[in-house]
Amino acid sequence: MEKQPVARDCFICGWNNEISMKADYYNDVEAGQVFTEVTIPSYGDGWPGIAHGGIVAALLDETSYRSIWLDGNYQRVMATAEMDVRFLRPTPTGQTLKAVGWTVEMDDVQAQVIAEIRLLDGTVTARCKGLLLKPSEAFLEKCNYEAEISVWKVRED
Amino acid sequence: MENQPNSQVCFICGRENEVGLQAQYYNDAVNQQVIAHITIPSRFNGWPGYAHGGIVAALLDEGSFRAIWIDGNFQRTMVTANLNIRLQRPTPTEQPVKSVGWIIDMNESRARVGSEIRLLDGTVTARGEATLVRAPDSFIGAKDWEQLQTNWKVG
Repeated sequence: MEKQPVARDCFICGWNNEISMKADYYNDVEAGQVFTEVTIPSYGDGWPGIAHGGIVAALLDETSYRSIWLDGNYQRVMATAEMDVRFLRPTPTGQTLKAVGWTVEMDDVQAQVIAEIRLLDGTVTARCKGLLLKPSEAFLEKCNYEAEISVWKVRED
Repeated sequence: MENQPNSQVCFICGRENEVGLQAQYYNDAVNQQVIAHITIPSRFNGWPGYAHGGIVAALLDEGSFRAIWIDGNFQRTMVTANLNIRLQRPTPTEQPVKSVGWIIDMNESRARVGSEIRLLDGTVTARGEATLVRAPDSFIGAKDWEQLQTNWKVG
């Protein structure tokens, strides 16, 4: 399965961000899903041993975003506009989790996406529905998008 | 205005979490809001210069939870069941922002709460609405609730 590239600074995936979770996403084209196996470090605690709801949201946000790259078009760029998160049960820190994302529908300007966090036994701990929108050219310029994507890379195993 | 206590490990407020945001919330009883002034470090970037949407969500989650302590009853315990957020414009890192939370309605077993992140000029960058529910006894029991609370301190 194809491994997606990662950004330099991103908190969830970044290769040059010391505290990043260093999540690597894979395109499971057959299943129509992207996924990663990741361990949330204990600095992401809300309650001891349990991830802060916002860290859970962060992982869901990234995972749902990554689903728009399932076809390998890593030039496609969107930004999260809305996200609805349901916390079904506590998500533990310090143990391997699986995050899975898929696109419900997408056109040139928007995408509806879903992501789940699962324990390795398949139990779903949290789920989100997101709305992604194409950002303005002005925004992309402001955050130096062209320069930024030139330093993305696929992390070596 | 009364400062709220901070826990030991929490990602947003934990006194001993060196990676986290170490946010200090206080109760603005007059406006019935809880407030924290925070600068999100660049290590929480999604795009360069801007916070990852999930970190924005984290701050909205904390701000809404903190709202249920506006009356100073820091024993009240709930957990987030549902969080709905709108990211209206990019939230910058490395510049002060304000996290504000308030109660929409609350009873003993659940609360609906709102929160916003604002630039210092008042521009709202993101808005959240959350449903909190009382933490199940099993959840609290497993975490030895009273022991935990002894580690909370007002900064």
